[in-house]
Formats: sequence, C-alpha cells, structure tokens
Amino acid sequence: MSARERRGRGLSLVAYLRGHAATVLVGIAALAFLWPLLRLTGMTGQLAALFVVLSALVLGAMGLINYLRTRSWCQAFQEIADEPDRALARASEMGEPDGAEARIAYEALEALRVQAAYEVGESQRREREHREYVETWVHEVKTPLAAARLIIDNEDGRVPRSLTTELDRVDALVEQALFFARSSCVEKDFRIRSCEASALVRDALKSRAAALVSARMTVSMEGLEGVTVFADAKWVVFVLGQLIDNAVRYRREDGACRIDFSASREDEGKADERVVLKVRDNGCGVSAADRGRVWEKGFTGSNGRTHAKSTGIGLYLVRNLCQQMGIATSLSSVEGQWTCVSLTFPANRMHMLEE
Amino acid sequence: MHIYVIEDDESVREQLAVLLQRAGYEVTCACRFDRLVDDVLAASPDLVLLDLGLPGTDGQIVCRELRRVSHVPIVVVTSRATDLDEVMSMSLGADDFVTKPYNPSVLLAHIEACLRRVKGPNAQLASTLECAGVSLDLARCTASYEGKSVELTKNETRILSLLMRRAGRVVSREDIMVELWNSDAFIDDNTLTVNMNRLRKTLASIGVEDFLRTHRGLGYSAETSR
Repeated sequence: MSARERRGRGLSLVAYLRGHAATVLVGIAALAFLWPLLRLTGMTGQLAALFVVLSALVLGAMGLINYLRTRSWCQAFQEIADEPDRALARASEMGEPDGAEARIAYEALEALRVQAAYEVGESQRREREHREYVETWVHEVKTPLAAARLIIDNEDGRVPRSLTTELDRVDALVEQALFFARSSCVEKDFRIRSCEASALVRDALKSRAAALVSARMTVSMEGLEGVTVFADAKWVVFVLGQLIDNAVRYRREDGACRIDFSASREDEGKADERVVLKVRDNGCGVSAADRGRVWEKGFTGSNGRTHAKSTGIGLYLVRNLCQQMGIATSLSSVEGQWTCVSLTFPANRMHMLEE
Repeated sequence: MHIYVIEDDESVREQLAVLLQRAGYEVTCACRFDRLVDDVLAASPDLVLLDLGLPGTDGQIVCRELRRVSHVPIVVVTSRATDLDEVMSMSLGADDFVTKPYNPSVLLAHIEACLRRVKGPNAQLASTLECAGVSLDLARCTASYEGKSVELTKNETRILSLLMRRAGRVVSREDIMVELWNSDAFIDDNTLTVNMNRLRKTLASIGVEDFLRTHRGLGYSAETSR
C-alpha cells in the first residue's frame, strides 16, 4: 500500500488485528482450550458455554479498548505522515500522548525534530553569514573603487579612458555579486515603492554610460514620462543594467546599434492593470532553440559560444529578482534582428500593501 | 566656500581634497574621529561631506549630533546603497545622499546643488572657469569674452566646462558624451557634432574664434592662449 493510499485513514481495525495476530491466536486457542477444561471439572454444558462466551467478551472488550487507545495516539503521528511538506511544523504542534509506547515514539520524534531544527538553523546561519560577508565585502571594495575613480578624475584625462571602462566592469561585477547574494536569500530586503519609469531607465543608462558610448549605441526612450511602477528602485536599476549589458555584448557588428526603452499601460482600469516596460535592441537576437532556456543559471547558448564574457548569470538574476518583486519577465526575439525583454509590473496598488 | 571632509579612507580623503580644491573649494579634512562634532564646529565650514562608515563611531550618530548643534548642510556619502540607508540618513538630518562608487562630477554636482539650495541662488560659488580670456559662468550658463557675454544651453555649458577644465589637452568625443550622459542628456555621436557646431557658432557671436579645435579621429581641445 503506498503512502498516498494510506493517507488520512488512520489505523484500521484489520491492520491492527493483523499486527497483533499472535495475541489473537493465543486468545482463540485459550478459549478453545477452556471448553474441554471446564467440561472435565464436571460443569454442565450450558454453564461451560456461558463461561466461554463471557471470557470471549472480556477478551474482545480488552482488545477493543487497546485498539481505540492505540488508534488515538497513532492519529497524531498519521497527521504528520499525511503532510510531509509540513512534517516539522506538525510535529512541533503535537502534544505529549498517553501510554508508554506512545511516549517512546513521541520522544524519538522530539529528538528528530530538535536535531532537524538545529541543522536547519545552522545552515540558515551559515547562509546568512556568507551573505553578510559578501555584502560587507561589496561595501568595502567600493571604497578603493571610489578612490581609483577620484584618482583618474584628478588626473584630468591623462589616464587612458580604457581604465575607466575597466573600472566600470569591476563595478558591474561587484554589483552582480551583491545581488546574487541577495537573490538566494529567504528574507526580503527590498522595498516596493512607487517609482518613475523614466528615472529608473536614466539611472541604469548612467551606470553603463561608458560602455554604451564606446559601443556607439543610440538610445531612445518612448512613453516613459509620467509612468510609475511599483518596485524597488535599486533592484530594477540593477535588472535594467543587466539588460543593457546584454544589448551591448550582443550588438550587431555593422554599426547603427540601438537600444530602445518603452513603456505602456495594459488593461487600464481593470483589476489586472499592468505596466509593461520593454527593452529592445537590434542585436544578434536569440535562436528559437535557446529562447526557452535563457533564464536558466549558467546557460549561455549559441551566442555564448560566439561572444566572449557570457556568464549565464545576468538573465537568471533578472528573472529571480523580478519574481521576488512580483514582476513578470518575458523575452522575444528574431534571430539576427532584435531581442526584446519585457518587464510586466502589476499596476494594482494592493500589491504594495503586502509590504 | 569651505568644505569639511569626514572620510576615514586615506586615499579617498586625499583624492577628494584634490578634487574639491580644483573645483575651487577650500577643504579641511578630519584627521581624528573622536571629537568630530567639536572639530566641525570649530572649523565652521559651509558644507560637511560625511562618510557613513567611520571607525569607532557611526556616521549616522555623527550626522544626528551635528544636526542638533548646527544647521550646516551635510552631504552623506555611503557605500551601502539601500533605500533604508537613504531614508535613515535623511531622517537624521542629512541634506543629500551620494552612493559609492560615485562619479566625481556627480559628486560635485550634488555638492553644488546642495550649497545653492542652502545659500540661495546668488551664492558666490566657485563656478567660473577662465581660459584664454574666455570665462564661463557655470551657475548662469553664460560665456563672456572682452565684456560681451552670451547665454549657452545646458549641454553647451557642460561641453565647454569639460573642455576648459582640461584646456590644452585633447578630450575624446566619448569623454564628452559620457559627461553629458551623466547629466541625463543621452545624446549620440551625431547630436554631439550638432552641439559642437552650435557651441562654436555661439562663441563666435561674442568674438571667440578658433578657441575650440577639432582633432580628427581624436576629439576636441580648448586653446590655453590665443
């Protein structure tokens, strides 16, 4: 019998009897033995039969009482087995049962629960420590980075601009490490607020200014003014930065590269009103075969083989962070022509009230 | 204008001092962090640039203490770029908030905007550049030469100020564009050419000719003498 079939039925009488087959057989044998024994003492058949029937009733009643008691404490264990996903929570809700056997089983369960709780707590602590270390490291490393930028600026153009570009790359990687640590974290550390779509795009563009200018990308923004979305600004700017990085990395080689940002409101006035922010480039596109897998961690696809510096982290983080904020992501593309990533923000303010 | 810099990292502190001095500010750097509030009060600066991650003391506490005894504008610099830090600093009385790693020209813009907000629009800010007889007033966006002056657009002002700050050296088109991007003008190559031509024409209208040179394939430069 599989666990699923057993589910919710508790201890059946048949199963109980089968488990106590030896006791039942001994009882029946004793009763069967009682009849000739009583007759031997010279008791009348009627009286002997009454004795045997009475004994059988007493034995049966004892068995029934024992069955009912066992079933009642098994019920508590059954509930734990029925919900494997919440087993730990159910086990901690369970009260101490009566009966010596039940108490031993309960104590074993308690011990398991305590050890499991300890180990979960321990691994959460390690994860949190690691994350805190990454965050501290990221913040620490920003100080020498700031110093390097100031030095370059104070040299007033005597330092090659390529050094600034390299610093930008270090900045972007450091930022990615920070968000990677955040993305795997159970605790929410973002704040959903109303943000101007145009401000988000402008901040993202500024963070990638040097790369976009060197790649001679033309930027256009359409329908962004006055559009507000509900999200954490820092997170969205990071997400947009990843999309810009991709547009720069997979740009066309014959020049006239573009990146277009546009926003539109869909199903306005309805319950599922939403704002769609689109980032579209005219780069090399994504092949139909790769399109479904671009969000996977570590997936680089055929573009990754032809372009250096593909990490397979960017879009994975984009989807992960967006999911946490309740933003839907989708990618469409025509290979060799364009790629368009859409971020769909819920416009419903109820979403904010969750925070 | 006097700026008091509170920053624990020595190289950042030194470089900040150079950056601010070049931008025309008088700079004092904190060299001990135990009696910051008294030191700031004694120096009575026009603005305090405060790094939040200080040794031995919390920058936010310094910020609050300072605000309790003085109205000096405080610009907070931090590497912790979360919304919460921003909100906290503002509620502690900071006037502005810049996150590391900042672009130096962005930092200067924040400081200037903050000073202007506090001191009023006519404050004597270090905002005039001079080069080969041409002077550029960054606050009013005007260029003047031999008593004549002309108004420039924001983009023209930014381009000219970058070229004048690096007078005598070639500034690449990319550098100019990045500078413009940092102030929300996401122009492309062609637009830069248009802007340059218009800037030249505007300067010519007050008699400034051959001030900006084109270096084909390299960029532009402003002449140091004429």
